[in-house]
Amino acid sequence: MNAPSVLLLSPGVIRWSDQDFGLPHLVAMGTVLQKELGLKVHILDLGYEGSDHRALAQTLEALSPFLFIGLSTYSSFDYRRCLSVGRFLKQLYPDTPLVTGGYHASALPGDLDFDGSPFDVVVQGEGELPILKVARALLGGERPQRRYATELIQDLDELPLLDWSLLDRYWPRAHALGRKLQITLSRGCPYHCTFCMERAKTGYQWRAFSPTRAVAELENLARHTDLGAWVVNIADPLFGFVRRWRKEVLDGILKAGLVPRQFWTLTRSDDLDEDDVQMLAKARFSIGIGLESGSPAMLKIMQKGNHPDAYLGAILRLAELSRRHGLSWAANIIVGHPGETPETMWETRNFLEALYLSAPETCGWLSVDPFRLYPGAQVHQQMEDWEQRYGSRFYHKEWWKSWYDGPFQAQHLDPSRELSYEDRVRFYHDAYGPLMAEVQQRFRGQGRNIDRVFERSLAEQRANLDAGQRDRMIALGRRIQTAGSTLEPGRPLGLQVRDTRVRRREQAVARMLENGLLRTEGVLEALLEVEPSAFMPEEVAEALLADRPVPVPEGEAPWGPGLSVLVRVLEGLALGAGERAADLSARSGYVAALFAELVGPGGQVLALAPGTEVEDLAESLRAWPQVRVEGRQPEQSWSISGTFDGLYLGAALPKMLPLFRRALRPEGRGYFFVGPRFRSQDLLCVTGEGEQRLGRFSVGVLGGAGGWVPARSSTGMAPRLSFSCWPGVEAGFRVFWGVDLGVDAATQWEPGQELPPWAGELAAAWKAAPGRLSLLAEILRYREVGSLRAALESPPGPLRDDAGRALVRVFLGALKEEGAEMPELPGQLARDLEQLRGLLYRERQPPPLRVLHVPALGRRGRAMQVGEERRVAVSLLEKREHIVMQVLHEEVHPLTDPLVEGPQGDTRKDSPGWSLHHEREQLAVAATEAFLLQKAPGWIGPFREWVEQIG
Amino acid sequence: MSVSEADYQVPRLDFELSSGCDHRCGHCYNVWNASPGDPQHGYKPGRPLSTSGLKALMEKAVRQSGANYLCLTGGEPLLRADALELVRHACALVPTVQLITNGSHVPMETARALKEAGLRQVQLTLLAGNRELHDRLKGATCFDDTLRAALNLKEAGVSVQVCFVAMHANAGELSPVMELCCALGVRSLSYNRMSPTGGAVHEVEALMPSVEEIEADLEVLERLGPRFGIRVGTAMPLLPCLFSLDRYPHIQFGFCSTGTTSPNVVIDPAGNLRSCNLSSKVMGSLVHSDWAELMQSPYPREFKANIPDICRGCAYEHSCQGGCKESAFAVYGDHRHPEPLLARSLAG
Repeated sequence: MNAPSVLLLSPGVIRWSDQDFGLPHLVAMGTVLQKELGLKVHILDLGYEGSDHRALAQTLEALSPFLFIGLSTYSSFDYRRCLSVGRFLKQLYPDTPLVTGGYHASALPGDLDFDGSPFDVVVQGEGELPILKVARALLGGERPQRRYATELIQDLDELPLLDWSLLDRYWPRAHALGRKLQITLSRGCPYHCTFCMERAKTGYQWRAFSPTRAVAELENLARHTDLGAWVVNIADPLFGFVRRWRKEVLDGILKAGLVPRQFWTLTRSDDLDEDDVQMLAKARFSIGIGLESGSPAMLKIMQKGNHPDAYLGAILRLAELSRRHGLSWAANIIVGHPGETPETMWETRNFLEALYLSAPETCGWLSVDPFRLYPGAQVHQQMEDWEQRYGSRFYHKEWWKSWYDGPFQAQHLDPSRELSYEDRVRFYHDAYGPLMAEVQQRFRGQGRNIDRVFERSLAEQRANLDAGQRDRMIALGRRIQTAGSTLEPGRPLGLQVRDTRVRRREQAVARMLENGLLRTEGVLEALLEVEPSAFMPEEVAEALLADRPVPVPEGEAPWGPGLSVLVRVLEGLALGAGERAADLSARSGYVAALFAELVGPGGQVLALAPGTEVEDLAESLRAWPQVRVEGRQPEQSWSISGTFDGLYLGAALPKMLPLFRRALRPEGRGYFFVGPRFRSQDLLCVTGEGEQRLGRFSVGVLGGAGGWVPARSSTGMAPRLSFSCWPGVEAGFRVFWGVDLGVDAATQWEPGQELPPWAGELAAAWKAAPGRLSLLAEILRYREVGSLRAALESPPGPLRDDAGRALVRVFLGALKEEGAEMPELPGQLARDLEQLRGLLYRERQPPPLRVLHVPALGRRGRAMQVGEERRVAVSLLEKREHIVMQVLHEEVHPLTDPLVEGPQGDTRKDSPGWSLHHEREQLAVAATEAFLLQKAPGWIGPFREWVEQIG
Repeated sequence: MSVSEADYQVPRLDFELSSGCDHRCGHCYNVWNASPGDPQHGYKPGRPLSTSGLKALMEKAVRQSGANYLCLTGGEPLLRADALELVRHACALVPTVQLITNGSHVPMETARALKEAGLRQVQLTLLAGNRELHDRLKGATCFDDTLRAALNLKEAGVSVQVCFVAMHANAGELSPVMELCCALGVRSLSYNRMSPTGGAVHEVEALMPSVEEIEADLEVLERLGPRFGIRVGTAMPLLPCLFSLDRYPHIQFGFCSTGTTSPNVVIDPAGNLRSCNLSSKVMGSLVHSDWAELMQSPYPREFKANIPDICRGCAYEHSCQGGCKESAFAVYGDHRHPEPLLARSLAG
């Protein structure tokens, strides 16, 4: 067993597009623990990890045991996530002390130190000294204190040089993880700005490394990474409060030749003279100035200083000096600080116009933010005073305890009697949008590639200021939040999982918690566990989770209501372990999978599939053996065998059918939508005691027997033509990419391709296995990689001999969890295919065709029949004409193949299968040509080009 | 072809005694008010029959149709000088007679006379709970007259039914009207959402109620009807594809009866027969033809079958039949066009 180490965890920042790499606060603590106590320290950032809770548990297991675990509740935006992650860690390591600190912990330690909190120790203020005390106590066999009060380090030079090797886990992909590299050279800020939370952590005392040490820290960092490739963010609350210090540090940087792409830091403009500006520019600095307002009255309210006119004069001077010396700078503005009025907002807006637009060009760019209520800031601590003095109204005084919409709630306030939230939002967007555009046009930049960073920042600001965003913020403000759920998830939310689908699910669940709909652990777990896009097109799944149900043509089985309605149903059904439940209109299988999660392995779920998609549905639900899929022709009368504890039909009925009542067990619960065809319907809860209307919701209507309208099309729900991108199929064919199978119709090899490591072994196994073609058929069958893998664990008949199993083994060894992304498809592609298929099938309705996007096939195509559906796999990255011809060719095959009799077992050259295949190919090609000549001569050119390409 | 009267028996007949009216209701459905260019333009009620002619026609109609319920309406029936005589005659012919009047012509002596004639029920219209709005919508100063008529009739012992025509212009007025009904001792209310025919097609934009407004009314009826002991029925169809009728068990909903075994056939002052009082299609003259012969007109059958495409295959295709298709014809010139309430709802 390893000696216990210390694990320091960062929750990662929420924003993904503009995060820093570095975690200097954790590196500093880790360094101290290593140097002072010789402890082994691991640093993990959940954002950098991007893994789900299972993978995280595995990672931790490999690093354990731990003397203690530190989790940084750095920002109030992370509060809920940290609590959730903390509970998860406590579940995994109940005996390991869990320590937390950070800005939020410093401002409101009680939020983390309460009965039932997962945290054993809460550290306020800077972490190095308390964390040493915690470690010493534990090493000495003592219990650490419950709380450690702020204890500032007076001489930062006493701290050891930062050990950046603590981030070795991440250095290889550091540039992918962050745009900027973060380090701190000083701490604290002596100013008393009312909106700032810095005081909660470091008080008002400014302390810094000595200039020599500061430069040494940068040199030390440069030994770990090439600074020339980074924008280095010196993330000090106030860089260079002491002027001499700043000059010496800049001088040291220049002398040491530390030349990053750019240094970025926050400072003040009121003590910068021309020499300072010149020096900063020379050292490749860009500076951020917390200007905050252009209104003298507001500057006083914000406590930005006692001489606002001088303060504003300083930034005007900086604007001029910066043009002279080429120093890029940015001013941050806060709109809607408590006390703000329409007049002060205009004052600021007009000042900024003079600041940025009085000259033909500017070296400054602008960053405008709404006021946000931060715990620990003076405004937060004295909210009642602000309310009395200015008539401010704070709508979410503890917004960080909300599961959802924290960034909105933090800024949801009326700044004053004279200025409402809505007016502030309108002003923010309407007044600053045009100004931002003008600033962007005049921004001079430095003529280096670093300009792109500035331009991107300005462009992001402009995007934030658009009218759509304005309307969204106003709409959010009008929606008064109801009390959220008190449910605490048993698994961590907000692990910054890289998979966007997981994050989307988490966000949806957070919303359901926030609006109080989600009340039980089981439903929460099921929603987090089951990914809807495994059951329906990506855009439908996304819309369902976002509560924007996607309508379908009347008569088709609807995809079902949005998540908030579905959650009501799931909570109402209250399915328990071992119960029987049925989804009576299982178009996608998603609800059946949720039911299966809820009833557990001992329960039973019936999924009644409307139309002909039984096979597909069964395949999608393969992972839940407790689900039984039955087909149901929509026009046939209803028939339900057995009785159930829970029944659900996600489509609207004109009237409740007595049959459904009869299918309920005595204690059973049924949820149905009953009501108008064109307007919202009643959600009806049916039990043995009667019916209860639970509110009105809009869902699609049921087609067929007992429904509003006839079912649409006899083929059920499958559209005649669809395009899909299935990870399982792409991953399967990608295994064969670059594998030289010899002269074989199944080969995807082309000269010049880079061979994958498994190429030799796979080619040999392929050639040895007589049932090899079954493998290709299996690949086309499964949507998900997991399903394909699971299916091949019990291979189909032709692959059950030793050679077949060997082939499967090699194949599975090479199979990766990688999919492709659906490219944007030209509408003409679908129209071309519809037209040619219409001509090909003449009076008949063409069978449903699913075109699968498989880039790994290159110019080739693969096809098979699954139930009534024809599946053709091609790369949709090829030219449209090529795709159309390839799909048409695969469509001709089923019409012409029966004319060439014989089994198709082998496709290697000179085998009987090869000649059979060859003959069928030739016939299909000839028939296609004849068909095009007769019916669509305009396509004969692209056809002949296609023939030439495929040889 | 032999025609059997028994095949065409109906329970109810409406007689339009007069086409004239001294009110100017924007929502009035009388088809003779259609303007040139309107799909219903061209219908003429013709010269009204004399007292004896009308009495004879009533006898013929009742005898041949088997009706045992007559509704005397107009225009305003009490504008006829022989109105009371005709009421008496009708009451002598069938067990149940209802008179629909605008309420401006029912002084106490008329109320007593109607009672003596044997009249079962009078329908009065109340469009609002206040004088100003009611009179504005009626185009006449008549609110007080209507209340007085209700009180007179009650005192005389004639049952009163109030008709409320739901419009955008009187949205929210149903509660006060129900309260007024309660105060007046009215025990029956006919709730009719505006169905624009005749001259009302020009008032669709201004007067037509929205589905939400009607739904709010239905909630009021369901809440106040039982509390005030007022029975509620609808004559104008409310489409099940727009309204969840199950939510309102207190309300008796009716669909279009044209083409059914219980049609609402109407006979105009000249003796012409139409399938309902919103229809401008004359099926023939009962003065010159027999009932059974007129009832063989293909019009009701074709009308019933002629439903909008969107309604084909709907669960209520055969009962609802697309709502009020006469209003679809009156507004859009096509029975197969979704009727105005549906069309406007679908258009959002």
